[in-house]
Amino acid sequence: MRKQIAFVLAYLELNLSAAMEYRVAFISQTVGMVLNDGMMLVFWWMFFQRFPLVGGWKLTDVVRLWAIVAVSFGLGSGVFGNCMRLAPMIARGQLDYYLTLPKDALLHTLVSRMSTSAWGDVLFGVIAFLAAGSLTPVRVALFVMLALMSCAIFVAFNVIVGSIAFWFGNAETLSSQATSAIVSFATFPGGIFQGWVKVLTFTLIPAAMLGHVPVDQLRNPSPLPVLGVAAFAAGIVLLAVTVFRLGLRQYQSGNLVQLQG
Amino acid sequence: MKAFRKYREVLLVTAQSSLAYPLDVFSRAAFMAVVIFVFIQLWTVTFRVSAQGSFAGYDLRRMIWYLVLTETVVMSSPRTFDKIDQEVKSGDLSYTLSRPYSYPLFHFAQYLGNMLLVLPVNFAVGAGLALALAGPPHLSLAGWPVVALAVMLAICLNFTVELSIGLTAFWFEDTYAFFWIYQKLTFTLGGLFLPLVLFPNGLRQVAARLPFSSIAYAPARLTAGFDAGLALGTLGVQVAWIALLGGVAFLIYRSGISRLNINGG
Repeated sequence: MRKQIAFVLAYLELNLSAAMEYRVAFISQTVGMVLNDGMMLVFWWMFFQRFPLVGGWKLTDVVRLWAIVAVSFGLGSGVFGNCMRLAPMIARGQLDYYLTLPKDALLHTLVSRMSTSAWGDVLFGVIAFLAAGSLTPVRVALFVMLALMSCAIFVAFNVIVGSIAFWFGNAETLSSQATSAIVSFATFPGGIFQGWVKVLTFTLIPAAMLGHVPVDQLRNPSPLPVLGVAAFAAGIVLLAVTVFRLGLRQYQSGNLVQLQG
Repeated sequence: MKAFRKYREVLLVTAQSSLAYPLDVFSRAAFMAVVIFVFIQLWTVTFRVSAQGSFAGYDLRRMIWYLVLTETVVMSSPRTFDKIDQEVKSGDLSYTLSRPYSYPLFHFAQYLGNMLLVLPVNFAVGAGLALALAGPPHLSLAGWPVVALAVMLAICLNFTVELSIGLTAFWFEDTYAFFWIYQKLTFTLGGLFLPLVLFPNGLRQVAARLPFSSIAYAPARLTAGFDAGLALGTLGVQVAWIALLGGVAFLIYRSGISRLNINGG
């Protein structure tokens, strides 16, 4: 485990130094993403000016929701930058490079790319959490824990939907739509989803575990639901690893000659 | 008119090319369905909780149809700035300068061609969901051609802004940040999610004077309360913004081209 963490950190350092070669682009993308996310909160601010309570959610809850989702999305696409590109990589036979090396193929594939703008999401998430106020040591610790669990859920979900490409070939569209769907559901107040849609957000599109339940816990902390999110995160990561390994048996090399920077 | 024939051909060829990738078209439509569905959930709960039948003239059905129109415009507008950005940075733009067409008009024709199939499919999906979950729109059949014209003008207006953003690559290393900010200004001040009449007073007055509302809010509000005067005013303002921002894009283009160094080889 320690070796794997060191491996991830080493790749993170390399990716960051590569991004820093284009310092202006890195800074502009980071600042741009903070503004980009922040402007979505302008919509919610306007909305809650008119309707102060929707499905039991207040503006503060939505700000925390965006904070959690932005940090998990940012860390997911920043540290595990290939998580949203698995389907096209599999379809084009681009896993060959990772399969020939001694490191775990899935982990190596995931960490070998970094989305530059992701750090804007992370920065925005931290700012939004601080702006939501009522900061106590327990809430800050809980935010860090829940954001990490949400990140694990986000990455694992993307690995599962991306791995569909092992069986169906070109699943790029399907996997990108699944990612868009989970982000769309996760950035709206959980209270608006009822009945079978709510069931959907706890199962097939686990937006509730990604954002809604963590926000409930930041509002009213309770050990059992936090453990529930942790167990879900562990379960979905395990499922993602299993699906990817099963999928690898179906993998066909692309016989690609590629240079890896 | 003869001069525009080549652009019509570019438009048609691009439209035919998009037919070759039906899965892409339908995947966009699937995302449109997700977004409209989520908004229907949001507004259904909002109206239920507030126990009011309407806000500033918008009942649930008007609100849903408003969102169908705004989302149709925004989600059907093909992303063009990144293509232009890449062509400027890679220098591919220099190849096009010697060709017998205008670079901005060539991209405009491609933009329209890409939108030709996506727009009706997106609208059909959004409208289908709205019909099933909220009911038919209040707009009479006679009003729809005007709404369609306002949608087309909104899409043209979006192109003028994206063209300008893409061309800023002559000066800036990265243009994505500009696009994100423009996109989110359209989402918020443009009224993509919330009609301007529901904005706080001061913000509403500012938003109404900006071009973003002519992209999302302007065509969509016609479905909520149509009258000839409002329609004429809407179309007039859209045309004025297209002329102004089209002019700005042209000036940026001219200025950028004058900085271009072409080295043979």
